[in-house]
Amino acid sequence: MKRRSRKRLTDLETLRIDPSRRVRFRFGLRAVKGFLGDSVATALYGNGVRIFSRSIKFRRPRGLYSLNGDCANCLMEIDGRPNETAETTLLGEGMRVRPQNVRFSLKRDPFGFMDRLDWAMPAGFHLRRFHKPFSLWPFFLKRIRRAAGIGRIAPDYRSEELFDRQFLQTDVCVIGGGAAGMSAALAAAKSGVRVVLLESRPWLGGNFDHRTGEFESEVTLYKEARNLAAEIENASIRLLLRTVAVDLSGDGRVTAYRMGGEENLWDRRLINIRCRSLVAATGCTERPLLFEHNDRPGVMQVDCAYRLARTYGILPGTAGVFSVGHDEGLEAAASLHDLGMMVRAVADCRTEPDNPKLSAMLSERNIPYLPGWHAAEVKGKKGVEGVVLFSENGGRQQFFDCDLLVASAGLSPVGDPLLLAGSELDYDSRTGCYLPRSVPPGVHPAGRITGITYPGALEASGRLAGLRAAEECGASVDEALRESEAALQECPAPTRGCPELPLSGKGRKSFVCFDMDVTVKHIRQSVDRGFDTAELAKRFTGAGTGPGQGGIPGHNLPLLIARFREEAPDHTRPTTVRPPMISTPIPVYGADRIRLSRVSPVHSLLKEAGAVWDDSTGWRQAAYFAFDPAAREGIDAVRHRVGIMDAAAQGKFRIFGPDAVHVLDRVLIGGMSALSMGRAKHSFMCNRFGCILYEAVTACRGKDDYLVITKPGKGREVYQWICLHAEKEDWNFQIADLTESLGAIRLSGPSARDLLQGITQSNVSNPAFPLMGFRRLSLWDGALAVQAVRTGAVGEITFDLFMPASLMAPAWEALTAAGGPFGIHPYGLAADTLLRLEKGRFHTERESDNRVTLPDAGLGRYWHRSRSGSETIGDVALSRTAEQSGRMKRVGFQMEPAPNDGRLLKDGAVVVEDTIQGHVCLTRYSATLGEQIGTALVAEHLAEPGTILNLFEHDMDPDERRYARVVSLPFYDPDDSRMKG
Amino acid sequence: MTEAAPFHQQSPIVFNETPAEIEVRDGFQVVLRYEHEGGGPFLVDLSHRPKWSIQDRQVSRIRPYRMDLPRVSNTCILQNGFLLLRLTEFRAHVWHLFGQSIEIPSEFPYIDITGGDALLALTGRDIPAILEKAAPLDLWQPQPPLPRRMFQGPVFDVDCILAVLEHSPVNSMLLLACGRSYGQSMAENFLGIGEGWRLRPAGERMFTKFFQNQGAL
Repeated sequence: MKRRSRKRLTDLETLRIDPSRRVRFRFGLRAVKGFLGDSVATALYGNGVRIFSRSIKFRRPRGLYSLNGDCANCLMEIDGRPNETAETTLLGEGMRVRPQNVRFSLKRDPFGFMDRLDWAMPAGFHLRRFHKPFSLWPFFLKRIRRAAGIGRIAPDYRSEELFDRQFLQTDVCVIGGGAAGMSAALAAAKSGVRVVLLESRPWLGGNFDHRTGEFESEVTLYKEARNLAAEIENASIRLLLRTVAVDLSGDGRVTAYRMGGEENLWDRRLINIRCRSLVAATGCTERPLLFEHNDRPGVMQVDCAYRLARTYGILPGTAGVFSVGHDEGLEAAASLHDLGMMVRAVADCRTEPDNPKLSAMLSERNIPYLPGWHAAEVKGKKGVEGVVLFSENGGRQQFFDCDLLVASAGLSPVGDPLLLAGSELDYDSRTGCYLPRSVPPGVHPAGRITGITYPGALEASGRLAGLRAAEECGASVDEALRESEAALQECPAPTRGCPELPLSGKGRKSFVCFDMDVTVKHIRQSVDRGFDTAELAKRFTGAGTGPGQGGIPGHNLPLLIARFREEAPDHTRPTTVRPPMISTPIPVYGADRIRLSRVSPVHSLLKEAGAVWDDSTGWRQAAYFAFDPAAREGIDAVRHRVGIMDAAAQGKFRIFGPDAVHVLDRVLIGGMSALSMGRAKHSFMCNRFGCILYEAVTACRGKDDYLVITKPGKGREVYQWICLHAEKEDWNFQIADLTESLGAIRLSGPSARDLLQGITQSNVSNPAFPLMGFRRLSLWDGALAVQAVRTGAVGEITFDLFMPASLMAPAWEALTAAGGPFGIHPYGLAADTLLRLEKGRFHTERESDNRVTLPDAGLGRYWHRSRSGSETIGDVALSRTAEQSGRMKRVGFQMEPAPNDGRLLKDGAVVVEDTIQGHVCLTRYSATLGEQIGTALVAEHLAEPGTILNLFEHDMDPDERRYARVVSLPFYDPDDSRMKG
Repeated sequence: MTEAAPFHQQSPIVFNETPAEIEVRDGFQVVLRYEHEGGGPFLVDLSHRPKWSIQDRQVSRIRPYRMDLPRVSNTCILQNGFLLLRLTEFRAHVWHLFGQSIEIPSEFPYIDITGGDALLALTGRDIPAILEKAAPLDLWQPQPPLPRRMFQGPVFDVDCILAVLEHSPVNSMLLLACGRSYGQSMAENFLGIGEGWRLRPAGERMFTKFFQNQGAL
């Protein structure tokens, strides 16, 4: 390690590190130092580290390759988090960095012998080996996973990071802060629209940022980038650095992921962006050159070597060979030579450079330039010790002694955002790239993604895209558009790419995908086996399915497939891109996800009383109180004294107006026209198949004025259901959702009437306020006015009291105080469910499904059949199914004593004979009745009282059964004397 | 008959702060000022302010207190201490934001929703940044002078009605109404996400002061 560690270059204008500020961190057990601005990978490279990880399958040593996080080579454990991309993670003081997927040491991994067993692992071996006998597959699977795992997280690991979420709205969103992206953002912002610019690096500049090539006379590329960045800072552009787009759609939605810095209160942020127009200026990646041992540490891409030197001040090697396929490679060779690196030779797989000045530059520096040559093999076990170059037809070869091979077959546009937006890519024979063919409206590609590379053209293309995007947002830019179009047309045509993918040898160790250890040989095997499209080969070999996604195989995969199929490349396509476009930590997606609970006005009072909550209806309702899950106290109060329940979660509507009754008759199956003032009616809403959707109690408040009360949590649905079925009629009515405005308190029990009578001067006796009656009551001498409905939901005298929600809490307190002498006790959903079950009430959520009609549930009596001209939803279906035989029936049952297993049967148990004949909807132990009771939906022949049901639960032995006897409903107070009392 | 203590209306929102000044108004105990309100931004509970819903087939014909409702859906007008919001073709809301108590018109289409909705005001310089963490709505786009835009959309995934009354680089004022049942957790979550900007609860006076400064009162 120390041998390779050397002094950094600290006087370059292109540097992005601060050489005056050291950053200390630990790599394994060693304390090392980097500089402020370093990424973890560059700091390690600067300290002489060359092997960063071991490969997943063959355990080959892997090193720094792209600096962009395109592959898994530099995935490391950073501060306890596995699979962090060391290339893009900014170095922080005190960081703890560890390599992963390695035993003992990076240099000497005992599983390194796997590399020699590649013959035993052909393409798709994991799909064909170890599966017979199948019982052994789990055994092998476990071992394969253990051998191939990439990173482990400690079971007790607790992230200290802060995750955050942000919603942004803008007119134009520009993805990519290179020359084209910056030009696009500036052009759009100058036209007066709002602009958001996303850049994945901590600075703007993109491909220009480190390059010393010429932009125009006496202006280098990096200086031009700095000029544009300064303009961006002064423009009204929202700039988001260290932000990558992970997903987008053609309709203007972009999901981005941002890393925070010391200035932020968060560490990682998910950003949902809504824009009206999108500019994709994501540039290019380099297409890996395929040759034997192209994954050796010391082999890296042009951009990686160039940036290591110019951005981070690290010479990537002492003596290097370049094997490239684009002009930037020649520029990089000259630049690295100028910085002091020995460049042995530059092989160019093209026959000539696009810019002849570059070959002249190499000649001036006495660097051998070999057009038509390419790297064929790297020598060395754990690093580069030499390179074999082949001429174009393989007829000649040369060997060069070196410790660095800078290799690239050319450029591949990063078309992922366009593909996600709905674009298609086509092979372009001039550039040798897959370029966007059709682009959806609202999306504008700019820069190198369109195949152009000439620096002036990149800016012109960006300006044009920015103006087009602004125009879509309503900006008036006609003249500027014309000028930009003309400027782009004057720029040179896109440069020629490498004519054909250079390939030599059998490809046994020529890696197409580093992450999954897929070689050229594997791709050939895949094609030979008939998996001969990029999509099939991807699945058969695993190429492009690793953490780097398609970053490394990218466009090489379809080009290889085309080559092995002996077809032109335009017959194949790159594989489908799916979000996220880059690996994103899963916690980011749950970042700061706030879900609000609906709480009743008496929430704090219930909390004080020891309520345990049930959120199943969307409201935070009391399930039971004070560690009494069986709710016996509450049930006892309701059955013998008086219970009080928070019923604020009920849906509550006022429907009024001359045609209000038509609305009710449309949705309620019970015939509401007969409902007189001061009366209430229990009814159901069905869908058009006659299946039960909702139940409701409707009270007539006055002439054409009704109060409709539905089950907790169903208010919104019922409101929409009513509106949906009334909107097309020319009815004069109003509907007001009073769910939030009205508080509701339920008093139930034999003493409920006495309690109520004690606080009102109105007569609430049985004749004056009968079952299903509605009254307006004045309580406590007019201190509180309530609307009261007398129901029989739980089989006892029950009053539902409705008052303004803002007065519900004091009303609750006053009722509780007034009920003290009667032994009042609060009860919650658990007690309510059991009380209703004892009374045989239908439980809409548990007992209805898409098969159960009103008569099936034994509720045919609620169906008002004699209405004339009615168009009640579900009426027709009910008519057809009422007398239909063979339908499921709802029955009540009592459990037969179990011989030796005293546990309670659970909801959802199935009723079986030879086949499944039904299921248990709801079952509970009733302390009042002293036995377990329940309801079930069963086949018609099992519905007769006295029938024994055979019940089976998923955790029973296959031959085991529980037994229950069908009984008549209700279980409790069959003559209704108590609730009518 | 048993006696009961006088019934005070309760706002759905209770801030965990010490009130410095309280006024009883329309049965509500209205906090005018809290101790240690800080320098902003502020979160003000206005749930006690009267709010009415108006529904009618021709809602534009209705003129609450002789004021015209906005003609276009999703717009609002601030006039005489009332905020008139046009929700849909058939629905409008009237929020009485300033001034003395006023009776709800007894005519047919008015429904009192004062107790049913929680109403919050967010005011201060950093309100746009705070809202970016809560709502995927384009609240801060340049506004036409009159009528102003209003929004119906999710805040913390809950349907809300929002109106931007002021937006400038130095100050913003946003009103947000949601169902009463969401009010407390809505306020708590705003205070949570606004902690980095020192968002703190403030009394009603902070809200009226804002408009006095604007010359709207």
